[in-house]
Amino acid sequence: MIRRAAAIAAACLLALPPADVFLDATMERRLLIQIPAILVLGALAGWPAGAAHRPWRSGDLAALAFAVGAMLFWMIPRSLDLAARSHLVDKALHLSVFAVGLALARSLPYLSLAIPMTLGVQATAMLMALGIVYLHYPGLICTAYTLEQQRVVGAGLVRATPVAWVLLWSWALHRLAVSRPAA
Amino acid sequence: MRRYLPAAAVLAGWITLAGWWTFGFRAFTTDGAALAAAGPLPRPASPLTFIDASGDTTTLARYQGRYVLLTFMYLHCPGVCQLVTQRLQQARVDLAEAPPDRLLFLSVSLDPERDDSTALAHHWRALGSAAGWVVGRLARPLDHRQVADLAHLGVWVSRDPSGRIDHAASTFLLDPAGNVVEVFRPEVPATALVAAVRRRLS
Repeated sequence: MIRRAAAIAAACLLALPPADVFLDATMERRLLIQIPAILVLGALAGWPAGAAHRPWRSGDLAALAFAVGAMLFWMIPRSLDLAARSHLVDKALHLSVFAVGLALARSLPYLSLAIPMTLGVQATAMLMALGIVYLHYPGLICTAYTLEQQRVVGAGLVRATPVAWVLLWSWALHRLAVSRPAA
Repeated sequence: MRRYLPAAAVLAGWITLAGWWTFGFRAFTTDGAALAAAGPLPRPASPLTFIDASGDTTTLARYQGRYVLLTFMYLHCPGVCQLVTQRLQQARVDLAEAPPDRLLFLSVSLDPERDDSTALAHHWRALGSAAGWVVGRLARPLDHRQVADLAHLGVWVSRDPSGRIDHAASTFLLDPAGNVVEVFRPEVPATALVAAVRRRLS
């Protein structure tokens, strides 16, 4: 309960002024700090307290579909531009990213490990590809920011991908270690 | 099978939304969306009224009968306008064989309040005072109606409270009939732009 309340409070702090104004000001602060932080806080708020031992439900898969769809939508450069220019869309971005964290926390522990690992490997590969594109593409992709900021984000994503990769596999090994042997 | 239906419905919803938002998965950037919304090429250029550096009000239609390389900029632009102008300067040098009555460079400022005739005349002199290069500013302030008019051309504009204007930095090639026939994104190098214009001129 305390963890959930603290995660929600921290997410609100990040999504509201003055932190929001500071974090929205540059592409690297938004994409490398604010959005991942809100995502993790959403996951912390929604992660089940005890061990996750129940069969998967259709809602788990729907939550995962919501999370994947929302993240893909916000990866569209035009969506990020709109969020940078409209306070309303910016709030929708924050809310939906927090909801993505919640949805992942509510679905991943119950689904077969093959599903989150497949998605995780795809997601980390996409992060790396996105980083390389941001780093080397000669034009502006997100027009609300500058070319310099775009390159910093690209370099940041390229560096963050191995970390995400290690975290993903650590989580998978941990889950394998604590899972009960099949009866 | 019914267990998978909610997930399938959610995914279908996202795919529909993304498809609508990206014009059928064709335009993922703000530039791309503005161009897609304006329609396929070639298309007639929408009317544009502007004031040139000598203070005369004129329209795009006046330059029919020759090719026009049309670019939007503003003098306080912190980055991309300068890069685009440099590219056009290079193109102007490379296309020196094309006389002004066959090819005209036209740079229109999106900031008519700050970019007055004196400032634009100074800018024109900095560009080399070329006869084939016209510099001007929008005849109307950058209000909602003006933004909508520019959108018909495929140009998006967004002004923030600090006065910074984010805008399409593409260069539009208009043919002698006044149709937009090619659009060059800002990252297209001058050599490619020159080659495309030469193909048209020949």
